[in-house]
Amino acid sequence: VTPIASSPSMPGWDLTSWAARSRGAWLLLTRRLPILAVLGLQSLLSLRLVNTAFQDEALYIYAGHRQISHLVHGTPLYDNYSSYFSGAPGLYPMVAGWLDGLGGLALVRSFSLLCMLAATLTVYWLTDRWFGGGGIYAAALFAVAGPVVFLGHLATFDAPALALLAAAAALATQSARRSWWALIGIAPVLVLAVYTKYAAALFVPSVLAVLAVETQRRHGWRAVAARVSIVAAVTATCTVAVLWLSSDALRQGIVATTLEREVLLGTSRVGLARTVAEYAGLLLILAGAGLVLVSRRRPILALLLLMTGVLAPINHLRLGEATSLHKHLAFGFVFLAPLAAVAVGRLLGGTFKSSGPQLLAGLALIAAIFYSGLGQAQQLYATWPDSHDLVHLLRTQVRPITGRYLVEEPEVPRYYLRQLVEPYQWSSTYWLQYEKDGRLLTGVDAYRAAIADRHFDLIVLRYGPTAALDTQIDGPLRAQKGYELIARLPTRTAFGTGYYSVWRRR
Amino acid sequence: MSALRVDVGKAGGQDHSEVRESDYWPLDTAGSSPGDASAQVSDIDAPTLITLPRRGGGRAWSVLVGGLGLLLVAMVAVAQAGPWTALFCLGVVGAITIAGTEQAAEARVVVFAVCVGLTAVDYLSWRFGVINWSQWYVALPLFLAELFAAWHTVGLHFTIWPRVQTTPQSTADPTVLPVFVLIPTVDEGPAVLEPTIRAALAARAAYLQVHPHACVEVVVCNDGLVAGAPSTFGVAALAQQLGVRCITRSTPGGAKAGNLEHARQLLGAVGDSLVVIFDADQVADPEFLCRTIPHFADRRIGWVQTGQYYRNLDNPVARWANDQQSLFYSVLCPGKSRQNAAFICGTNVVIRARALDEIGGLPTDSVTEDFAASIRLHSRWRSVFLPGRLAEGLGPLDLDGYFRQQSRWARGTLGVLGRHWRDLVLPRRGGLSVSQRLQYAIASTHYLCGIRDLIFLLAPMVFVFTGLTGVRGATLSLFLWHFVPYLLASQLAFWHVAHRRTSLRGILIGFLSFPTLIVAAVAAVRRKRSGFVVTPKQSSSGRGWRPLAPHLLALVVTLVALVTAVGAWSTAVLLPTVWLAVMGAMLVSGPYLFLTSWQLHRGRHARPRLAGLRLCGRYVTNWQLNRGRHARPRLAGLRLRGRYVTTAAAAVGVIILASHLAEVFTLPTVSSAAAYDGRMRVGVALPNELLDQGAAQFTGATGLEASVVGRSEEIREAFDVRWAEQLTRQHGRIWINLSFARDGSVTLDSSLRAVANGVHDRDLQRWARAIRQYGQPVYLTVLQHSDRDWSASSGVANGGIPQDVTSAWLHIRSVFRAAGANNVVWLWAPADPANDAGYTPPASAIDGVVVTMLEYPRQRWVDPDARLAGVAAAHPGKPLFVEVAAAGSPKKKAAWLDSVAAAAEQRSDVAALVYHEGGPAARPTARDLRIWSVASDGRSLEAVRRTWSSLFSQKGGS
Repeated sequence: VTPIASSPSMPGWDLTSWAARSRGAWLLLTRRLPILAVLGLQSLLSLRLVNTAFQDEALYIYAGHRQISHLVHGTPLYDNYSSYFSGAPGLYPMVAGWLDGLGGLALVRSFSLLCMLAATLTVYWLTDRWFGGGGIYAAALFAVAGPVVFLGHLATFDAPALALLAAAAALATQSARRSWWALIGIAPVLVLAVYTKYAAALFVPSVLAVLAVETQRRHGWRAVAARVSIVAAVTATCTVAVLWLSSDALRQGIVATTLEREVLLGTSRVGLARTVAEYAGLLLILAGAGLVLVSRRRPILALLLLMTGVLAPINHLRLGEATSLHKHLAFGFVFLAPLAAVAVGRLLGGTFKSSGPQLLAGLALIAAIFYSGLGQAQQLYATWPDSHDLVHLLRTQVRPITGRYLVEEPEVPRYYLRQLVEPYQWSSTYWLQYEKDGRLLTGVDAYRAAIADRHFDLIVLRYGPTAALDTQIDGPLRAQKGYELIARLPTRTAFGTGYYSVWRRR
Repeated sequence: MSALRVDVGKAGGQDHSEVRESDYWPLDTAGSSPGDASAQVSDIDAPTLITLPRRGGGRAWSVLVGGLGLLLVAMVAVAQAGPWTALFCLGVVGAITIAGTEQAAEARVVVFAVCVGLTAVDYLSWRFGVINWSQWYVALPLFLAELFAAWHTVGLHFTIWPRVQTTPQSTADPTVLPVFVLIPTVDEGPAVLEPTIRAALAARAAYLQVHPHACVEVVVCNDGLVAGAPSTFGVAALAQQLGVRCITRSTPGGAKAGNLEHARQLLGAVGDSLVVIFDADQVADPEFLCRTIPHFADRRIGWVQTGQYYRNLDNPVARWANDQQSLFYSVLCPGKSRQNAAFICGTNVVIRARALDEIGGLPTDSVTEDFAASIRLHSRWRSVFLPGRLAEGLGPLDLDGYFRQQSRWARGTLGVLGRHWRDLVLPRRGGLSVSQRLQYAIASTHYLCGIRDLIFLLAPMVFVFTGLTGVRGATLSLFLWHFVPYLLASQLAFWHVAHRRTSLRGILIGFLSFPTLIVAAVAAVRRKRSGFVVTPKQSSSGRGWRPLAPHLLALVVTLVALVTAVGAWSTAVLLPTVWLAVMGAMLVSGPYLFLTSWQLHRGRHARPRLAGLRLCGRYVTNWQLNRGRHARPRLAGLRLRGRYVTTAAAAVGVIILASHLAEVFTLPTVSSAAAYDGRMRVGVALPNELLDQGAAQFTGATGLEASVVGRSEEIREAFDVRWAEQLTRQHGRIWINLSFARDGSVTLDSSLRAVANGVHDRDLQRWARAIRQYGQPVYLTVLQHSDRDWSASSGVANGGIPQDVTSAWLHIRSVFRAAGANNVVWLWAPADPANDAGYTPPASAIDGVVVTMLEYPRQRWVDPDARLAGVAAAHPGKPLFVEVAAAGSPKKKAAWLDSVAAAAEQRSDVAALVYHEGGPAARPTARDLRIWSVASDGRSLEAVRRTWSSLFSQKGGS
């Protein structure tokens, strides 16, 4: 009924081609803009987190500096990083140290962000491949999850290991489409992921299972047997080869941080379950719903993803340890997010062509993850004290070469003051060996003897992780015997307010 | 897309009287489930229909969705994440929306709407938390006004949300229905009425051309007789002349509704017929009937409303009012239509007579009979709004007319709200749907915005004049954190949908009506009845500026408040001041509009200007068409100006860059070799208390020109360039003792390790840059007396050890060297320079040694000769800078000062002899200043005059 009015033509304008171009540009934009928007938001969420270096960040970056210096100048290391690092010291720490030299901690953390963005992109891609769409939902769910946002601004092994693991899963998926280069790439990437962070080995079977499921779907069981066995064999060979070539310390380190891991901070099973529910509960529920929704179409894959998603929580429940649980949950999110996206996608009608109420429902779910993620990431980032004031104070006191400093968690000031203080000048409240009257003392006795001898120029206690020891050795300090209290610096963490007490030798 | 299926052939030739009654009976909407209908698109209103599938759902679904919606709102309210909420919407929601739809405009509307809704929740939840309950009489109205504003902001986006348009059911031929085109008139006169009638006839002709069997009658409903209008007979004559029927009412009552009802009953426009209403000034498009009547193929359609636009846009008031109207008709009405909530607007509408019959005709108890009728009919009948200009009328010609129109609409709408609030609020089987209730609630509360605007106007004034505030515990940053995202989101979202549909003019004229709306609201509350006031179609200008009296008063008070706020400036008044400025600017639009309207009315200056505008418009059109002919000279001029601006900008850039480069590459004019040029200098070191006049007093007292003047400064202070340059002009040199203390106190930052470890590097760099910039030689002492425990930067106290002195000294020098400050003469100043072996920096890092001899009363005074010899022995080859002061008996002091001069005279390595005024105290008292002064007594002063003058005349001192 309505006549279509013809557009008035203007001199110099070819409306047809302009419209075509404009439509083409819009289509291009609609393809790229959504994921770019999610990545942009993820970046902002991660970059807004502000704090000084975390103990682990400081430890790894410092180790990187020392190793680079050792390689280039032959500077002694004074430490055997391999024996206690949870990843190969020659991989990520070296990269982190190099980046820190270029642009400081901000650049190292940006590298983590880059890795997490890559992981988000991979999740996006994987979901589209596995379920024929919904990648944007998966990317959004993954990107705003608290642990993911947190890892995006944490300069540790986790972000690159996670990105490599996701890349391995992507290669496994792609290889099922007759992509030989992808098949060849799986094993090296997996080995790299495992050596970047040993805990990534937990997810290697899942990646192989993904390879099996995707291959079976297209090429049958015979291809599965061939490809999986090849990739598994190459992965195992590479891993063993690296182990064989590396030092005993590395082997000990791998065993000590994985198979024979000593629980540092024991937590009850109930407490752990509560933590899992807090960080991953909603995503697990959505993934469960997704499992039901795709149970007919892709039951094995869905089950595999869900099982992989709960691997880390189960492992932590088995160990009864909460340390790094949130970080390991993020590894599982790579596999949970695609399943959860199926549920969200179904709610939103597959595409966004649903009415307001559906949008509201889907939006509420994503917003719940977003807001909880927003708070969780902030809270996780506030679990360690801002060391700015302490480092500033130490900078006014430390003396190169000759000074001796006992500091609770010395990794952080050691990293910030690396240009001024040598590694051997620092002592921590975790372990000390002190010789007195020909006897080699350790533990509380060692600390007491050293303090009595005014061995340390400075003593910094926070009454944090080693509060039990601190209260046993601070008697002479509080009595101002040989030491004077020069500052009490307030610190505020997610757990409350505390103080750095700084004593200086009289 | 398929056209609406109207089987004309089947109904062709069928007389309307043969149409069965049941064919046009509205369906029982309660029994149908339109939501289940699959999506189809009609060409009728293609621009507004969205092809979205709609899901069915039961009560469980509704509960789930409602619960999740509440959860979402609760999350936003609890999180109070400020801009993060907006970023979440733009990021996640935007991504998902864009990925899920192929229609860009649709996606944008969804994203903006969600963004506005969530940021509004965020802001209001935060705002609720900072309500100042102790002054609730200020706080509560303000918060409610903000809540009301948010309600309408969110309501707008709820209205325009892309929705499924219910598919029309083509079940009957509407062209067989008799059509009565009613043109009500009171006193508009033939001149206004003639084009309206002619347009109606043209529309009829166009319609009959397509549907020759149809029956359309144009009727003028003349109410002039009962209103006593002089034009009533002229109207009747006009009708006769144009061949249309004229029904002149002789019994008053019911105003416009009464007039229409009278004509309707007389014509028999009841039952299965259609009633078309055009106000007397509304000139219909010839396509009007062809476009509207086919919709009645769906027997559920009760009325089809079209937009109301003004054609007298050369009148500023009409133009502004048109912009305001456009927002309603171009943006809101299509959205209302998709929710089956487009109400009758009184004109340019086609109504099924049976619907009117149901409620006993148009309500005559309301001045907005259209709105009242809609609210009663909408539960059973469907409505359609057709976008586009299908009729044009005359807008109000002056502000008085505009305000009267607004007053009538406000009274009528608020009156309807008062009578029908139960229909909107209380549950009722077969009543209005939730969407309709919301739409009517939004529409009927719209005219309360006058009260809102008044509160917004008064709140900052109250704060400025009385200090009463509606907010407690909110910092400026927190306010901005929550308000700015909301403001930006709502403004962006609004202008996104309103772009090219309305303008700032529409907003401003809406704001200007606030006094009128307040009066109308009060009248509605008092249930005061008012007559139907026709919007004047001719400018009266009888009341002149009087309608603007409230605005002028408000403007004056706003300006006074602004001046008061600026006078009592503080951070607290920043927001009220900004807000007052905004309100003031909006109020100014009233007088501006009045003046432009008056100018046009007077017809003096307006015409040439309008003519100029027309000429300009023609010129621009030509330029667009012939780009390159007329445009070239103008463009050439623009280019010329552009080049000029570019050149000027480049020049400024070069100057700025050059000044920076000059700073970077400026090398000091004097090297450190100037530490000692063989001439002895005399001078004075001054405490801060004597800084301004001390040097002049020294010269006046001793007769010696101070060629070196010293002072102490702390690292956090700035290099006193003015003081230094003043001394340079007097041929003097400056000597600065730079300390790392803070306000005279020793802190951890003052320690030697702090200096050596770079804690003060930023300040040192600042000093170095300033001294380099100064360019003249500067004697600089740092780490003074670091061999003693009283020093701020001690090598024997506060954790310092002697070795730290060298580290700190070298570090300071390296910072200055890196900054290019090579005009510094580094003076090493220990307390005991003759015995400083454990502390002293490498000889190569020292340009001179300071020998300080401050002699206290009742103590044994040092022998200057021996002291200088000892220092010279400890620092061979280094020039000595002797700083002396004494407080004691005049005789002893004079003798000692003589001995100082004698000792210096014997040596060739004394570069400067300086008297230290004020004594050793960092903050000398008046007594200190007196007893330690070189002029403390006549004998001492005489000794200095005599022996120091003699010394300097020999050694080449000034």
